[in-house]
Amino acid sequence: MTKTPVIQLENVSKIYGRGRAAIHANKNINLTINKNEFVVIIGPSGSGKSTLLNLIGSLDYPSKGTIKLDGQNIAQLDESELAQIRGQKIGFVFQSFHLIQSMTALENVMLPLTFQNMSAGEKQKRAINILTKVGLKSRMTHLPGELSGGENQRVAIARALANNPEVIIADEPTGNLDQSTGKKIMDLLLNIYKKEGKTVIIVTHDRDLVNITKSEKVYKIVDGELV
Amino acid sequence: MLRDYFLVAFNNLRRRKLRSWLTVIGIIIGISAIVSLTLVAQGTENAVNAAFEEFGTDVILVQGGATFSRPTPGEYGLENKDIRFFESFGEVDIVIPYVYDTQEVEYKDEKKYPIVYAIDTELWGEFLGRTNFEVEKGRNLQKGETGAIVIGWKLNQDYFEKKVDLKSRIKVSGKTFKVVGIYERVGNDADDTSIAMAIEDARKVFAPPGKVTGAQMIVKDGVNIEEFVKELEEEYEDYRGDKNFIMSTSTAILEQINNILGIIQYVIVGIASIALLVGAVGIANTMYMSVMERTKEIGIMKSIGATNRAILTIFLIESAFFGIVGGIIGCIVGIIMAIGAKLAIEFFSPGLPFLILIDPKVIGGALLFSAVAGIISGILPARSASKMNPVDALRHE
Repeated sequence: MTKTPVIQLENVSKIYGRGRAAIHANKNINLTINKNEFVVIIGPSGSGKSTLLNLIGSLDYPSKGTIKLDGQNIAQLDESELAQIRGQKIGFVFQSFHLIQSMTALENVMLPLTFQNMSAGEKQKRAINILTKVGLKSRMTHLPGELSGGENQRVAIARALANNPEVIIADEPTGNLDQSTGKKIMDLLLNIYKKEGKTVIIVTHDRDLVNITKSEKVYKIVDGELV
Repeated sequence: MLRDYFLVAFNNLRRRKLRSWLTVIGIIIGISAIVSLTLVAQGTENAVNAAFEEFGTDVILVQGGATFSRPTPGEYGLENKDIRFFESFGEVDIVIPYVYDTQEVEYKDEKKYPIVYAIDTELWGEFLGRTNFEVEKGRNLQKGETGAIVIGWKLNQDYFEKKVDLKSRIKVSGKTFKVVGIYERVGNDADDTSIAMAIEDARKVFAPPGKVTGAQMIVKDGVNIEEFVKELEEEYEDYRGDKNFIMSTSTAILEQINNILGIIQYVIVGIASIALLVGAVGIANTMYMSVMERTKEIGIMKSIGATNRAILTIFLIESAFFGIVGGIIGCIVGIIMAIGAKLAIEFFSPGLPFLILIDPKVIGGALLFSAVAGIISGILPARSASKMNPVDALRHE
């Protein structure tokens, strides 16, 4: 099977600040993530893994080097184009869920579709479909505050899947959950990788997660560098 | 898509109900002040115009030695020969000379100094037909009648400690007169406390012989009054040998008054606009607070594909909403306030034909004004929201 690269980082550095006070959050990172891979990036806190994740997810521009998303250099895109592409090709899952508290689970899942100009009827149909898939059909009209942590993370995963993106990026997805709930969330992400054929990238500091996923693609990040 | 942005924006407004309403109140105050004051100013203009319509547009007013277009009490600037001069013009139909003075008036040992005016009883009907004065009780002066007076409404009320009524006897400048009639309420104290008498009586008691304060000239039908008054003014100046008089038409006076009312209206609306400006600053303040509080939300929306433009639109909808809702409620409150002012004016001066017309131009302008104020005050906060870096915004707690 030939591998198609989805995300390519070439000599990427991210520097905050200037001169002597400059902090090199990422240094000379070379990384290629192919279609339908399950990638784990592991590193202690402060190692620059969140910065790397933001770069992979095209939330931020690199200071040096090139990032290609589906072969397209993101440096050539303006903010609006980048937002559009981010919405279509990447789904984010965050440690603290990052749901909009005043919106119901269904509305939260529909929101990314709103930014892609989808009609109201189709949006709702698709959002219900995905929420059913993650096992939240009966909790759709609840606000995030009325749902458990595991349920919130399921809503967040459903939201990440809403636009049917190629890549799901998860930043410590189990960090705020107890062990058994965390396991279920990891199973869900593995399912998305296996059954839906998505590329899943997980960033964590938790060694146990690596064992759960049995992923062959594990990168370690220390002091901003991949080792 | 815009519809969805509206839903997102309204969702935010609903979430902060109290603050949203407080912000809207700022705009309501500004717009209602502008609307009510404009409507009242227009009502005043209507009242003045209606009063002049009654007066007629065929009247030339002349006063000798006067300093302002309103008659000056006690200035006897016209003589009999002046009146005859005016009468010599073919364009003039009738000349009504009048005396207008403040005099000592005594009733049951109480002394006051109201305005007394006097006209030839032959011309009484002609004169009254062009004023707000209507007899309510008793009757008017009859032709050639002397020793009798007609009094203003307030004299019949509480002007003197003891009530003056029909058949009461009042001393004007030391001579006793009998009250034969009482006028309806006019609405201003100067007119409502005045006393009317025959010019013959006035001459006997206080007015100098052969002199009057001013005159009303009624021109014949078909005379171009504006041209005629210019000609008359020049000729009269030659005749008199000085410029020590004022001559004007009712339309000229009306124009003058309308000009002044117009200026007053601009000043009032200008002041009311300051209230709206404060309201707009309130919107900007609320929007900035909202942007700060929702920094994380903005980051979330950006991470799931919201463009800068989408964020800008959502925040602008919110600030425009403050302006538009404030504008609509402000217009309603303003109309209610204007009607209240009309009722109050009618209560205190019932004679004034004060009319409030709800001018669609005023309402439309106020709504446009408020919507624009809402959008403009939202631009800066919305821009700062849209320009946020998603990574920083997400990190915000």
